[in-house]
Amino acid sequence: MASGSTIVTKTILSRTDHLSEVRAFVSEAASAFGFLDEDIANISLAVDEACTNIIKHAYQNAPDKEIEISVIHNKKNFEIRIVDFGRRFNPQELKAPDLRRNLAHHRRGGLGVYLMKRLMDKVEYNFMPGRHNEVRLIKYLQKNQPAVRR
Amino acid sequence: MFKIMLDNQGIVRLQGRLDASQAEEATKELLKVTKSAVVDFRELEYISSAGLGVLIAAQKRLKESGHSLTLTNMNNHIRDVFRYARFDLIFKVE
Repeated sequence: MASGSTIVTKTILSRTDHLSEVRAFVSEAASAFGFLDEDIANISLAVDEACTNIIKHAYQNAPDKEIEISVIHNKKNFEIRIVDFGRRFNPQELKAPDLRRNLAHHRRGGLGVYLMKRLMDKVEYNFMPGRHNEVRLIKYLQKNQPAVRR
Repeated sequence: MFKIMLDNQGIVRLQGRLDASQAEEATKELLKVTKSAVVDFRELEYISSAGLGVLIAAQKRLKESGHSLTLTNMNNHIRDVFRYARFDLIFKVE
């Protein structure tokens, strides 16, 4: 962890009715960091997609498992680290969705992961066998945005 | 909070936030739409890929019988999400 980083953490159970809490938590942190509305909305959506994938794939809709969401930031980087203890699921190992073909057949496969990558500057998956799975979503503060507020 | 309302003029009104927790409810209501319809996004604040999936499934079903959904009154963020997902290519967006 880089020195000077600030961390706030929230833990939820693996139920989609907790997604709104997660979005509110991340939006508040992103706003305090200094992001503008458009970026806040994009970050919030990317985190929603990551948590939805964990509920659906890592926990296979089991409603009583834990998901830990941590927001870590320093002056320039805003990172959301999401940890689960379910099945290993790495969408980066899957074939990238063929958006054009999916659209032609009116399918949405892989759309959540595609949106996460489109909305964030960096998306990274880490697996610690026997411990946990982790997805890191990173957004950099752009030059035209105000300095971090806290 | 999410609501989906169908009126007798063929307009589907979405309200609130359409995420994975509301996808089943939205799917159930949209199954009642059997002809071309307008989906009014004026009061929809948020949509995730789960919500997009609901709409694309409805569009696919309707197109098989020669009908389609037209989407209207999206806020800027939702419009951007549709554009990123390239859904603006398969829906008429007003």
